[in-house]
Amino acid sequence: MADPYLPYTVTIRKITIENETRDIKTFELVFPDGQQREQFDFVPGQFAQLSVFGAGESPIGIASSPLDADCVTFTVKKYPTGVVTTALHNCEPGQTIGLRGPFGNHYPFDQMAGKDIVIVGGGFAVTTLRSTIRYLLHESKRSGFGKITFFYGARTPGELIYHDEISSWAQRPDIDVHLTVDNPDDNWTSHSGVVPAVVTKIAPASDNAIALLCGPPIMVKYTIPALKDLGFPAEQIITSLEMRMKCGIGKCGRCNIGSKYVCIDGPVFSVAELQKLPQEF
Amino acid sequence: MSVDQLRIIPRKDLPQWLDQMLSSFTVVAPTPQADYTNFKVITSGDQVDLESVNTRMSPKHLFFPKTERLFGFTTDRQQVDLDGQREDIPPRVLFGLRPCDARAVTMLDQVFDTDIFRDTSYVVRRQATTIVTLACNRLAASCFCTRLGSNPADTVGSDVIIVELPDNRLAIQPLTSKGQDLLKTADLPVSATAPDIEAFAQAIHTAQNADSTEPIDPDQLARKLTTIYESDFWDHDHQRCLACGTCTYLCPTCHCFDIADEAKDTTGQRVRNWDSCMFGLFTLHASGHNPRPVQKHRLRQRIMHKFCYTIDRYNQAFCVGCGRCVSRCPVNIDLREILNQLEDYQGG
Amino acid sequence: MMSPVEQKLQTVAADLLSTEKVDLVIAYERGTAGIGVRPAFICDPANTDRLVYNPLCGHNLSVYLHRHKDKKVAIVAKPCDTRSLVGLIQERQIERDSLTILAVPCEGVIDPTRLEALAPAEKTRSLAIENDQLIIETDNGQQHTPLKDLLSPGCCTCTITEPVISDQLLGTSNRQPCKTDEFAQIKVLAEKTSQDRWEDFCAEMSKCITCFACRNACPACYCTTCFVDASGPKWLGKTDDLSDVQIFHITRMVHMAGRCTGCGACLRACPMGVNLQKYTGKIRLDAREFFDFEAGDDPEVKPPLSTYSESDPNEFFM
Repeated sequence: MADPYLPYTVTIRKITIENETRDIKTFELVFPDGQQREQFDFVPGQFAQLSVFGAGESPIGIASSPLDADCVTFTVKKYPTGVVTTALHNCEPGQTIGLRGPFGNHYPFDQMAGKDIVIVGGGFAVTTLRSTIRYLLHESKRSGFGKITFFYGARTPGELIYHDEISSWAQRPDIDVHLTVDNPDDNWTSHSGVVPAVVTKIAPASDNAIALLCGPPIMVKYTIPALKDLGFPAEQIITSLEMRMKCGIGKCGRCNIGSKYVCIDGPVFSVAELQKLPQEF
Repeated sequence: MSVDQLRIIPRKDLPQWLDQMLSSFTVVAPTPQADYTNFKVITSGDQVDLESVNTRMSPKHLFFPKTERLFGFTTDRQQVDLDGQREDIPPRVLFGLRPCDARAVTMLDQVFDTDIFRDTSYVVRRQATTIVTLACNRLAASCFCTRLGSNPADTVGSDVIIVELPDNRLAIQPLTSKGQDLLKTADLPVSATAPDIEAFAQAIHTAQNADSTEPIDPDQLARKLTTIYESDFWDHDHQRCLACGTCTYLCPTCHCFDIADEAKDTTGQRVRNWDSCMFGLFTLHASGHNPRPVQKHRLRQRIMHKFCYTIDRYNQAFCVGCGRCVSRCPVNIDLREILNQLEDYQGG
Repeated sequence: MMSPVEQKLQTVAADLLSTEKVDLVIAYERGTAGIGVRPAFICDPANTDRLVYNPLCGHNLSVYLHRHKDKKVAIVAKPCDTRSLVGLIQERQIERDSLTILAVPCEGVIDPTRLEALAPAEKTRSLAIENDQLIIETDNGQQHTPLKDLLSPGCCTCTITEPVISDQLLGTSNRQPCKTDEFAQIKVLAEKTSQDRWEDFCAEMSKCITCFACRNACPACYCTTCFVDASGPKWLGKTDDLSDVQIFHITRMVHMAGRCTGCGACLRACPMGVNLQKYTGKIRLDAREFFDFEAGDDPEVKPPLSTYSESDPNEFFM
């Protein structure tokens, strides 16, 4: 019997500081054993439990693409009271940490096939959307999907993460990138204002389209009606939730919203599904 | 298993039978502790106390310990060694639990013994255990198993059921192959006569009909709970709730847990500890956000989980009516009352 | 039949609510088990007929005040409960002006464990209290037991017969302060060897399941984040290891120094019968001996944990 609580041990290959306030870092993890990387077979939208032994475990969305064969990447925000996130931020390259997963469901790629895809991200919660975009833009996958429009916002330019990568996407003809910040500085040349307003202004077409949404609760709350106004039905607006989790495997009982466990029935839900659940998240 | 497997012993011979069991099994049974009984490993058959209807703590800790090591670790920065070796569980008999507690174990099975993400240590403990249940011949004041569609002689979850006959004899019936094996190992020959079989059937019938209260309709209740989630039904009981873990810790079906690392310097272990949806910390995010910020939400969660979410998920209300939460709640939050109120509630 | 105190309580509560002098009355009502009672929260004057007051009203209701800081509250308080209110006022947890204290007389409250032992619910047809007697009706007939034989441990040595503060007296009692030394048990324990004391403590602690009922029932335990729940730093684990259990209780008790009034709420709430009063009593005795301080005596006096004086006893420093 495989033990679902026993993590893989993985090595931190590289750590990147992602924002000006330096509380968001990206960790590239490599498996000492190549076979384990193959076992760690995931789809964008899934998460894993990262552990620093002695500090504990924390659920984090997977930020790399499944097609990034050599490593798995996680972007972690440090919270003052977050024991594990703080311990992770104190790690250095070369250090060994624990990885358990992949867990949860994923973005609905079957449903997305052949459709235009609108991707809306906010702040640090853009991680699994980054995984999704890397996957969609891969030369072996890109032709299976329609037009891709990516909205991404943060409070200030310094809080936009994956800066270089997103800039490189903006140069590509096969994805429309719309960046926005609430508080632009003098060098800022893209949109300003909150994400839902920019979505409304750009007005991506909803015919044969699907929207993926991940961001702070306030952004999600106001972007859903903006997308609905553009004609996206609730079934075609997909979002990903965060909950306090421990086991990740539907047993420890804490991440439920109604009768759904975010860890195994989510974290990805359509807005239509969420509307049927108690609004307790 | 047919009744021709029935064994009959005088009640006074029970300690000897337990002693016999002890030569092949670890035996866990109700023993006195302070002014109540609890399940403990016994070393002699005369330590068992079957007088109280229910033990103070349910036997769930035998399958799902309050604290359990998941694995050990030794770490320096570059190198981590994990030790996933679990405690060895020798064959054991869980003796003298009541039908409600045995039924509760089948609910824990649904959570832990799953096709994917099978909970190894639970399953190992479960497989090592033969459950010998004692049917109830009287009800405690807080008992309400009948409301949950069960009865004082329910055999669900038991490997062996023992029924007390009126003449101070015990009728012992194996229900599963595990139960058969136990009766063979602890050498109890088939001894029942035709009148014994008749007396056994009568005793079962009496126990099954001891309480005539109407069972709840779990599906109807679950549907109703969905519709009254936002109603004023939840506005009252939470006011006196102290937000302690008594109800959940004593409950034989509550199974929520926390996972934590316990480490000193470079060695330590990852453990799971019982946790409770009654605690504010239970759902508190690291960001400070809490989806259930006040006690009203937490008490509602407990009721919703037991009588709605588990019906959606496992097709069963996760309550067996053992009455522990009812009798030990320091402020008299009474599930029986809440169930009655739910059935009567007309608002929405 | 309703007692005069009960009658007055219902009238006063209805009046306070209907004249909007208070928004909420915290009192007692009948519970679901036998003659048991439970805390009641009444906002509508029409519901005041639910209120009861009898020797089963053990709960120290002041624990609930933290949840109602934004309201004008009337609270039923036994003499010992008023000491908890004093503590909360001293520590600026409640506004005296927004609180109406309805002081009820007390002859001691019944210990639920003793009651259960005497009259197990499954064997008891009915229970009633008449004057100073408990009348138990079983299949074998009627039995009268004097209430004083059923009192909670703390009540058997109680010296607090009058409320320390109150706004309305709902009745009076002729009860005299007990002459028995309430710290007798503690003094006996304190005389033992450290090994024996430790064993006593371990035995008591091994009953604990860390459900935190003691902490949550305690009016003086109101920290927004209890040290046991803190994560940065994490002070202790939450395992069932005896050392984790002991550290929780020791730390909590030390935090009770000069604050514990000995109300017994922790003992009544505990589902496992852990006798914490044995140890909190020592803390109270120390506060008395070292600082000449009795928690709950006077809202104007600063408690020892909130003050510092150069003459404070400090033998425990090297």
